[in-house]
Amino acid sequence: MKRKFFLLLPALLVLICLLAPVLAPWDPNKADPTIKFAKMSASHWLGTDYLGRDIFSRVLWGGRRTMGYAALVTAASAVFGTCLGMLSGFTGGVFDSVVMKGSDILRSFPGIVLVLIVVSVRGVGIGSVCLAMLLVRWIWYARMARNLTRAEMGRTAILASRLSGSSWLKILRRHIFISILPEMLPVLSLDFGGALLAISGYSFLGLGILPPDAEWGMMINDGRNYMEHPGMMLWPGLCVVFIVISVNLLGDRLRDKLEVRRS
Amino acid sequence: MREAQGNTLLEVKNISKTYQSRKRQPVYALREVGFSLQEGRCLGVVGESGCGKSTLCRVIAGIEKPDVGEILYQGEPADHRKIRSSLQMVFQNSMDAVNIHLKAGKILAEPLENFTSLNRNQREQEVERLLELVGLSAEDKAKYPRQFSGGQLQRICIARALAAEPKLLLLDEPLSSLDVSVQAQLLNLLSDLKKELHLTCLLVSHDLEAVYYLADKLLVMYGGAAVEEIEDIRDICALTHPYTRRLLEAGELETESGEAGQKDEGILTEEKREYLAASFREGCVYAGHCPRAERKCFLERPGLVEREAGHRIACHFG
Repeated sequence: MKRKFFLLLPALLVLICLLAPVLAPWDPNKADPTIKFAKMSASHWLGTDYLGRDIFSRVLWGGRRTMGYAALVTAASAVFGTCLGMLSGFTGGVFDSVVMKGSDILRSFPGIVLVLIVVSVRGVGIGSVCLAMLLVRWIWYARMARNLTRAEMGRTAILASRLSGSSWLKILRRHIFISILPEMLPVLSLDFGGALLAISGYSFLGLGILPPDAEWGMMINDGRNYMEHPGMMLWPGLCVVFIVISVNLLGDRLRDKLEVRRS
Repeated sequence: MREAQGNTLLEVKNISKTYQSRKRQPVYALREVGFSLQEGRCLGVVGESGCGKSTLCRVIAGIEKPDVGEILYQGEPADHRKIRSSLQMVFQNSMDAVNIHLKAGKILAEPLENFTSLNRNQREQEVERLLELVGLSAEDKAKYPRQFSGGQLQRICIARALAAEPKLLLLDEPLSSLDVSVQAQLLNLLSDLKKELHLTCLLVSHDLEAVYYLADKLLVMYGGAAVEEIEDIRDICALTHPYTRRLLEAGELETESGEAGQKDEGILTEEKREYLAASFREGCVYAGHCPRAERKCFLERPGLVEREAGHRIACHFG
């Protein structure tokens, strides 16, 4: 029961963030200097920030962006990386070594440097940050999918499937993908936490989402200048911590569960 | 009656296959192995582990290509893409041969999807028929491989092979990972299926008893070469090759021969080892272990020669 609760709460937070357009009581960008730094009240549940914007609404809208982009980056890199890794492991030979060497080279770039390069070419914005993240994030999936695929290829089941007349595409889809999925899922979950931290981190640095749009990392950065009003930092910060911890726990749980199934 | 009846389904002509070991030493998996198999008959291939019998199976199944030699299927060079469905294989370790994430029904449906034009409902019915054919119940299609015992899972593998309606069934040590009572049940099943479906079989095993039960003819392999062959397994006592004699006297084959061989080599001097290696290249494959081996055996390889009708042997002493 207790562990279910741990999953239910973040799911609830995700849901209300998704429903921000409906649930948010105020326009998140509407500034009203007359009520800046308002305390928690019935009309502004979590108070207002230095421009008098409603923090609760901004947390909801910000969560939508932060988690949305994190999910987008994670999903895109997972799909691309897994497909490439499976193909690489399946074909082997020259293609395999080219892909693996390529990923080695890309991996040797520190992520932040890559972001700075992309930002300097394309200009500041969430698009640049996502692109830069995509460039390095698929590598983990590719490597993992490739190694798992190679291990799976050694099994007689693949031979049996070939004898059953299945095409290589069908073998990849029906046998290899299904077999490696349980091992990929925990990674996916952990990686989502990482992507979320990265997105809010870059926005904190002013590279990602541009003002006045709300984003958790950026809201924390805004709050940094007004330490005497901790509410501005506290709520988005709590949300980030809460979501990241939750997905990490989810990843661990998935891994435990799938490991039990495996043995 | 010793003469082969029926048409020749499979003819294997002098196939050889050599692998490179890690130390760049050639490993002779198959050396000029040849035989023919008539429709409806079952050839038993016996030999200790590492003698090339599994490789033989794989080469015939088209999983691997022979370095030299030819496989004729119904008199024509085998094109495995065309005859894929008529040539099916059952593997040794059933747990490794199925995808553990798929239900039994899905496993059996795979060849049906690829080889037949049945729709979903018909496939479902066919899966149930196949399960019952191998002595399982139709409800078992909803179970995962983990929920079956080794014997039951091997039955599923047999059903999967039969789903393609093969003419030739290659059985690569289908019983070796099972316990004795289950082995007997599966042998009965295979024997029934063979009669019922007019299957031609190739049974690879290190268990001489199982082979005797199921096979009509016998091929004994050692070190990648065929050392003796009889057309009628009832003449099993007439086998004379020293290696076969040892098998018959021992009752069963040493499955751990690989280890035993290594121990043997451990006490060999360098000189003797080279001598043995030379004999393995040029002489009789069994010379190193043969009680009757003479100088000639190490220097000259005996060919598989017909000694009497339906009995061929590769030994200088016949």
